[in-house]
Amino acid sequence: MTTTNIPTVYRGVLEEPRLLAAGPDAHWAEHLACFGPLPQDSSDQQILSEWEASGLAGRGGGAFPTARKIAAVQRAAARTRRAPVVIGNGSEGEPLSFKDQLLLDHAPHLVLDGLLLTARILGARESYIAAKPGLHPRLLDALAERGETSVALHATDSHFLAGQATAVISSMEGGPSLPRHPSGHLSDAGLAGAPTLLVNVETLAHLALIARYSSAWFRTAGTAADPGSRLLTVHDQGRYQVHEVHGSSDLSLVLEQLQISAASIQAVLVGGYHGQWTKDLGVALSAANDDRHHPAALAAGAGVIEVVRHDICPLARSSQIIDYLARSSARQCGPCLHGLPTLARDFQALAQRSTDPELPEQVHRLGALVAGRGSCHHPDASARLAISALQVFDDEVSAHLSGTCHHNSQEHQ
Amino acid sequence: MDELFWSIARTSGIISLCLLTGSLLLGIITRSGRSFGALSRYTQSLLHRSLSLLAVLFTVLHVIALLADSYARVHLIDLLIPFLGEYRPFWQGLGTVGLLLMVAVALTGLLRQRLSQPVFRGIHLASYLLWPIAVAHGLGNGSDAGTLWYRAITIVSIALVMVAGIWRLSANYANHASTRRLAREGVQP
Amino acid sequence: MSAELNINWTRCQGRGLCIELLAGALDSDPWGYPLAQDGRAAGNGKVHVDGDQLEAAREAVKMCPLAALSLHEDVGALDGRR
Repeated sequence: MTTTNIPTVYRGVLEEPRLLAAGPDAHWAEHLACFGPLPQDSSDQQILSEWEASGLAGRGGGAFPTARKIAAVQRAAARTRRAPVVIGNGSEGEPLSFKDQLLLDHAPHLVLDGLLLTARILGARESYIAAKPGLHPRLLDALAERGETSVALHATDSHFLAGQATAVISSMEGGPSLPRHPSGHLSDAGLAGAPTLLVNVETLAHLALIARYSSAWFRTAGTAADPGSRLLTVHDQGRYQVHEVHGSSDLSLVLEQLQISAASIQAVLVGGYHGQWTKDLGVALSAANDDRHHPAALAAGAGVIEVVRHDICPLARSSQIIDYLARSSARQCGPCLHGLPTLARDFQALAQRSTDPELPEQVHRLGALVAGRGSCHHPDASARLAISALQVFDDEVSAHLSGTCHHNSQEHQ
Repeated sequence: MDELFWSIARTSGIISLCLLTGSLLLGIITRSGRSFGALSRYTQSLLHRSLSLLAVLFTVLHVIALLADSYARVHLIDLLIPFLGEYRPFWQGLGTVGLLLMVAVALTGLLRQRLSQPVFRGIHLASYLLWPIAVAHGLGNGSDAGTLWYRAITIVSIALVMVAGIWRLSANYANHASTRRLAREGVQP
Repeated sequence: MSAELNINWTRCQGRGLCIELLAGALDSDPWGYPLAQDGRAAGNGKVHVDGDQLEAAREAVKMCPLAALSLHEDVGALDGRR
């Protein structure tokens, strides 16, 4: 058998918008004109099949197959004979992420379509959108336009962990907006003990499109492993833009399409504050990390990337982020509460050009000490960010340890 | 027979008070999370629970003996509503309050696994109110309160609890207190 | 026969009774919280304990002042008794 060189297709920004196809600030009329009504003649089973065939994975950072989540809630509802609850999570605690706000502001009807369709199929009696209070007026308008009274809005806090799934549930039950100790899946027992489907609002919007246009359509974007498209918030020089990109987009292509020249880029933070650094731009922005493929894939997380140019010291920027992450601890779990600030202090010393050669090792040790020892993944992901910085910026680390820095600015704008 | 019940009431009362003092001291030691040689954290916890349970038992015995002693004129109602007694009603009333607090604290101990931390902590803190009330009740109602030995026991108990209390409120009372404080401020342990 | 100790980190205050009782499975981290010894950590807050540590584990669960522990015991494939 002879092997032929199959050219790799590099995918980047979507040629045609999907989620934002109805244009900015789309009201009910624009929404219907663009997308048409939800399909009337598909059975629930057909829609579920399409959702499953689409391979859609959650767009909130977890990248869990959505159809599987829905099926789990269905099973739990049948088993416990309790009506399930559907929650669209638009709380967006990641400070670099603006895609959910954008979606709720400009295409709320797609989100509501997905929410109401899922709720109907699951036989849910309660459905919610969890979002910051500033977005509620727009959502209330959208609901009024549809004459919809069955969706309740929940106001979420703005701190980093407020968007974590169990934090949202806790907040909705009148408790603090902090993660809970995991005790089983939300699909089995979530809000007030009912089987709960909690998905990101972007995921709901994709479900609405797949129900209309089919899974085959959905898969014309993205790749087999990361089908469809995602919203990506791109930060560069203190400004951001949100773009729709293919699944497994090639980072270098996306940046080129956004006219950010590769030569001007020092590194990119992929996946937001709980993501990882890369100097190599030939990576795919995919649903999950993947060390085995060429090019390597880095999880886009909640769809956020930050470009760092040459004038910024990447260790200083990382230190800023780690400080923020340490301050964002829910302060419920000992290892996180004590380990993250200690790690942040050590990293800060490194960023400030301390010549203590033990510092990198100390950061590694603290990272290993906090990982997996909390009720949520905050310590794990925060440690991973720190270690990613040490690995990717090893040259800068060496420079700092000898008291110098290659970069002009110590502060990020 | 009344003489016998009176004896039992006095003895069990004094024993109960000593056990309460021991339980309180051990409670404070246990809360620190520190071990002291042979007194491991596990041992401390077991002792605290045992002494508490025994204190309750001896208090029950104390109450039953008083009910049985017709001379004492303590009635069932006095176990629930304080200050209704005929003999030194105020000090006896303290006994009632102490009994009720003891029931509450004991229940939190028994139902530990099923209570939330704030509820457990809030009610269990009543121990700090229970103890001085029990001491006062003993001094006010105790038939032996005037004796030297009783006063000596009381003074020693108060001294021990005060020392433990001061320790409890000090900055480095809890195990790892300073290490944790420094860590939260971002300093290497 | 083995079991999995589950630490509820939101309740744990690092009082250290479990570290004392399960000296063969847990160490103390720099701030006094239980740290699973090498190879025993099994995901968020889960610690693998051996059959001969089972009694101690049950005691730790019972005696934890914060009720922060729970134990998930496997029934051995060969031996149906606990």
